[in-house]
Amino acid sequence: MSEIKTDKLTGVGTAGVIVVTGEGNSTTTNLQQGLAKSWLNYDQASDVVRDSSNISSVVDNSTSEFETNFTNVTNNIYYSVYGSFNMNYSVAGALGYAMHTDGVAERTPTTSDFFVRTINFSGSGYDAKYNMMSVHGDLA
Amino acid sequence: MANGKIKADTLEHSTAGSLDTQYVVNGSAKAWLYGVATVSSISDSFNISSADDDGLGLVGMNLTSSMGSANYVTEATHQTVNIANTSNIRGVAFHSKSASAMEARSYYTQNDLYVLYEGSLYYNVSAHGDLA
Repeated sequence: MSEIKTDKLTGVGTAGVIVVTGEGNSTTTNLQQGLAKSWLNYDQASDVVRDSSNISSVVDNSTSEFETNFTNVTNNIYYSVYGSFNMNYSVAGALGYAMHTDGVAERTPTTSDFFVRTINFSGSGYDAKYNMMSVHGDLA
Repeated sequence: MANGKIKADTLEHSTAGSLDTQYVVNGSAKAWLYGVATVSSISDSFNISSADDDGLGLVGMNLTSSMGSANYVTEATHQTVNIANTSNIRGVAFHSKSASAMEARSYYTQNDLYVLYEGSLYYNVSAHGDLA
């Protein structure tokens, strides 16, 4: 078994490109492109960030709405954001995420933050106890 | 200088710990996309060769490098124009997958019915699994 000890990996031909052989041994994939650039486990009901990567802060703007700030910014605003969350038992169930909106108008993402809104059965705002999110895209 | 190749089972950082390289290979996203839903255009992506408008609410995405099977995991969320003043629940579901393509559809529910629609501004999509 071999082991590499290093604090930094950098591509030779292009610093930001390191290829990795895929599971089927016939294809390579770009290591940097495949890495999640951020992830978050956030309790909006108590306004507590349980754990995260590349998140400097989460701002609880109002019921159902929070703003997530990156530590290291992205290269553009076209990153891909996903999320899932729990239903809070004994209260109205949460059903979906509405990214980049505050329920009234579009909140365009920036390279340093994005906006999230959780909605319930009636389509109105709702604080979820477990917000689990990840981001893929290009770092600056 | 020719590009080198390193074969290793473990990566170790001086302070952040170590990681078996199987997690690098298996844990990396094999594709992601941020694109305009209504016209199926791609704003930014990885391992996506093209996106197709496959009909009302249906967007097909073709992979540049194929997966080893159709048993990979897909995730998606979407960005709506405005969800206020409506009781309709809106979301994105995957309609079909193959080793070389996946198709998502946006929908809303109304009176317990599932209705396709094209009210999404953008799709956020990713795929994890085994490459061919």
